[in-house]
Amino acid sequence: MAQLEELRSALERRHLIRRTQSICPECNRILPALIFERDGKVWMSKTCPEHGECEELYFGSYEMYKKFSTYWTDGKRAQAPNVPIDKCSCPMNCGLCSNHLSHTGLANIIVTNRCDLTCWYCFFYVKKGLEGAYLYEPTLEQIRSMVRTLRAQRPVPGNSVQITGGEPTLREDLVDIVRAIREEGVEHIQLNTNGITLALKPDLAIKLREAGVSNLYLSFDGVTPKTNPKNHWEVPYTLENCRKAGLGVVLVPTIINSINDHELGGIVKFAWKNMDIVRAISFQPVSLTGRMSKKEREKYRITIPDCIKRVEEQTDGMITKEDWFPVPSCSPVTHFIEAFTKRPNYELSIHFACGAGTYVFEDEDNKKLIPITQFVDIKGLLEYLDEASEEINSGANRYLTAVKAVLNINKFIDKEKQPKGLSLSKLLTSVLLKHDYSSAGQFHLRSMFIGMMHFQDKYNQDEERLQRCDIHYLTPDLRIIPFCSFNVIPEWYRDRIQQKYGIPVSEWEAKVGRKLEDGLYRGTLRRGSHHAGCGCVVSNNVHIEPITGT
Amino acid sequence: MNLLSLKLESNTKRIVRDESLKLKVYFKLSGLVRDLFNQKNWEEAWDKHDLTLRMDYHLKIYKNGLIKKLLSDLKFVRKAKFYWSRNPDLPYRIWVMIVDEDGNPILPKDEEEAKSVFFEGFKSFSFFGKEIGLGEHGLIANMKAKWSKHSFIDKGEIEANSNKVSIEVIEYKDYSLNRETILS
Ligand code: SF4
Ligand SMILES: [Zn+2]
Repeated sequence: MAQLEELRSALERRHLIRRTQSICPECNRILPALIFERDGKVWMSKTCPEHGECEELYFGSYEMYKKFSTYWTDGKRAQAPNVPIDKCSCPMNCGLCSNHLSHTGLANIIVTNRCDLTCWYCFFYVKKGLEGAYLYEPTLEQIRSMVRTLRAQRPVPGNSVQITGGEPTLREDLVDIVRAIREEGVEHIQLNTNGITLALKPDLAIKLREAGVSNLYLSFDGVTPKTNPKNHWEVPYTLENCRKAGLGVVLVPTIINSINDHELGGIVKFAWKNMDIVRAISFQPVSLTGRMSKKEREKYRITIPDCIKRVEEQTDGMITKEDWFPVPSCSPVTHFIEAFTKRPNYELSIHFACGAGTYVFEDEDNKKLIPITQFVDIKGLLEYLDEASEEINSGANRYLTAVKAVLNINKFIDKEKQPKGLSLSKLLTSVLLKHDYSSAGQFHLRSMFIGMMHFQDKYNQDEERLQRCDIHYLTPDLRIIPFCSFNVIPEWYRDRIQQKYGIPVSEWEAKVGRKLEDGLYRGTLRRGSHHAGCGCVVSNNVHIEPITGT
Repeated sequence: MNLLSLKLESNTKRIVRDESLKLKVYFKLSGLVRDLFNQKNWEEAWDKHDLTLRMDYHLKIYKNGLIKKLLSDLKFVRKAKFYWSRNPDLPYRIWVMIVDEDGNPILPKDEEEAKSVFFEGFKSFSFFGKEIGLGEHGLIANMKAKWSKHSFIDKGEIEANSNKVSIEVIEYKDYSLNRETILS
């Protein structure tokens, strides 16, 4: 009876926001879904005729949801699709199809599914003895073909690749792969890694940098050995080797409620301490893969607003929740550049619930982190750029309007509060007028980007998000598959492709003459719970002991 | 042809200088721009990657007289964002989200609601009698609405004045009271 009352009260407190489509977490059936507000949070509910209702937390703050949703902008679509279809059938025909709304922002290429670690929660690496385990390593020629498909994308040819795995550094020809991707015309190459090989081999970072890697995308789940058993001891060596090579690093923490959600502030402080080489943090609220009970989901589930709140609390209010903007809020900048150049430009048109970010700058005098919002009226500036693009599109002289816009940028910047040594108006002017990587790079070097992306899972999957996804996978069948199809429904995408283009582990072992487990990391850099420069907040990162043998 | 209608209302005809006068301005934009704001055109615009229609509203309240005095000057923007909806109950692919001047995202249930959320509304103002000044006055509201060129509409602008509201601002509440009575 009490349960029934509770249910009735929960239903009464629902306030519908929108309707969308999702899938049944049990059988992948496409279902209508409701997005609604209850008790200040946003939830998703869907009901499978066979498996019943599934209700899931979608976004931890309705206030933030409202603010973010006002930046909703659909992308320019990916022309020259590989899967032309008349009627939308998301998520069944990803490849990209003619209904996909964003061009590729970042293209992942899995170069191997081998890994030197065996993290219990990871689904990405090949496990020996598992039925249907295939070792997947596309050839250099296959990789070139995939990149050509990316470069052929219109209206904006893909220009950003993430080499990923498994652990990509296990491939002996990794440097050749990087070179090949560069030769195909990709300017930005990011290497997703646990950093262990890079810690063990000091010259690898230099070789990769020279071959064309722009930055590492380094797993880093916390500042204690408990929260980051994966590479707590190795990260300082990795950073030191990157420092020597001039190779920038993005720290990538996966945030799990009740496991490491108390360490977001610590991670920010660690990144700040290493700001000379750490260019960004990309927090990833966990995607709950595999079957999980409602109780477990409630324990582990964390969403973007929850992480933002933790950052505010754990940095003593240095980075507040007002400092964050959803990823598509960049669109006015893109639209301004497009109006000015009359050419389609690279655009981050993902769904507002997928990701958020902010820039922080170090104040040289006060030794404080200052979020960009504390000295720039971002909202006003974006509004102004929107207006300026409209003026150009309505027939105003584009050169005059652009000059006026650039002159007006100063109005939105509070020079008094701007950190010393930074001239943001100059940097913004060159981003707006040159709109090339070098100007964006300058912006980056004086600051650290803190971003979040909440990859979906079967419980919270939203077709409106998927249709706008711009993080894609390139596959040897020359398809381009959205991340949240590839990994959310692996049985249709990831596993199927890796089986088709991979070989059984035993066959691989016979071919290369060694065992899969021979590639496992033996923990040579692990010496007790802490050492100087380990990822802990209690340590410092100045005195790194030289590595003696591997 | 577009038509902007404006109606000004006050809560009273007479106030004391330290009291506040409450005004409401109702506005409604109709005609071509409102007619063309329909699902067919949202879809056509969306297909051309023409995704946002901005309406810039500029509302002023004046005190009439020999010299017109500006009492209030308010600018606000509403945006209509065209997007691909996956609402299975909607018979259309492209729909609209309206972001009002307070940053509220509104997903209208039909075209009519979209039009009224985008082109209509009211604004409330409050002034102390002393801001208006002692004596009899005529108050009037003026509004300009402006939009840019889009695939389904040329750029345009329209301006209108409201009805006049007469108001008297007095020194004391009971005007029959004289200074001696108050002091005694
Ligand atoms: S990868 Fe997932 S979370 Fe990221 S943009 Fe694509 S759909 Fe959104
Ligand atoms: Zn089902």
